Amino acid sequence: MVSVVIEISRPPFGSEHTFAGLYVASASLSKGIDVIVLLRGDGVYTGRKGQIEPQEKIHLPPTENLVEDVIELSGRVVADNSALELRGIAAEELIEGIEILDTEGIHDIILEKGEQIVVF
Amino acid sequence: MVEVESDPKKTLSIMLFSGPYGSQDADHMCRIAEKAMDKGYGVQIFLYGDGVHAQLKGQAPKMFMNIGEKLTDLAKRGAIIKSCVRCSQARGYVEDEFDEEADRYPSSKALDEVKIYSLYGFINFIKSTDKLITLGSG
Amino acid sequence: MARICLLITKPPHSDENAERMCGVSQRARESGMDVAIYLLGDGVLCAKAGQKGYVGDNIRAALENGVSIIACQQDLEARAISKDHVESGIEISDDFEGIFVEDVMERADRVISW
Repeated sequence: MVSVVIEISRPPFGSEHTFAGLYVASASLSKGIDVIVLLRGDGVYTGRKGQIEPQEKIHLPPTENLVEDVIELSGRVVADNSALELRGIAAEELIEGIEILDTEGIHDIILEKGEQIVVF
Repeated sequence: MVEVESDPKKTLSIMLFSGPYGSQDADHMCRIAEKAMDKGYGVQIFLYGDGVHAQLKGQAPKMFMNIGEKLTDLAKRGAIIKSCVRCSQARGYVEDEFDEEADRYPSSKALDEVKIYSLYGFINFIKSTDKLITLGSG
Repeated sequence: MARICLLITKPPHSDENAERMCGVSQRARESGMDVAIYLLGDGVLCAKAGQKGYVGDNIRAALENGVSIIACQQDLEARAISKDHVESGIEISDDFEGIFVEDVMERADRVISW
């Protein structure tokens, strides 16, 4: 099976990078591609749960639901532990199903599973 | 560097995520794509996010390389160029429902050589390509 | 030996992309992979000699550890970075795209671009 690693390193709403990356993740999964989404740097904010109506409040689609879609379609979503710690984000704040790995583990995913790598 | 014989069946795909003149990315994309074609590789380009503006007809930069002309040249040489319909629609390019015969969403504003397509166009590139590079994101 | 090509078009100190590139490069070397780093656009600023901090240290360590680093000559010259100001060991190429494409298509198992 083709596998794709999608690296997301921007926070969820300030630019369209995050939506774009998560749409590629879901669409890839629906076509039988193995997907691992890496939340790195400010991308880890996308892993936090509890967004309140972003569509109504700031006219942007809720990335939380998009992350849940990826997990529901059996994609892996992995957050970089050092990026979480730097930002004071605890594991309990994350959407259910998100894995936490140290940076070495993230690099190993890129090297071992990144048959194709899409950076957002 | 050792000379390597190019396998004509190999394909390079490039995703462009930034607009044609806001950064060097589109320029890099065209130069890498041109070189790949010179060496006999197949090239597939997907315009995504603001990258879809590279499909606008009538670009006339005074000091920059004309990205629209470069894309047209690449397509005439056999490169397959698609752009995201959702991104294109948001930016005013899409005028009607998908046209099966033309195999694209119709747009009088977009270059004829660019196929406005669903995101699955890109997913098929990912599935079928030998190598993929992304420009204009990160 | 598995080979990875890393392309960076971002400057070294404005965001974390160059740091990420260095991290992947280091891990790939530790895993026994062959690594080539390609510096294009603002990415050539990573080639500037004498840089302090993580990226500068990592670039020098990469060169010592056998990583090949290739920078685009036109992008360097446009930014007034002559050969004397490039970290010693970095290859400067006026056919950057040609070398990059050939490496990616014929030799690399992985490619990642920031």
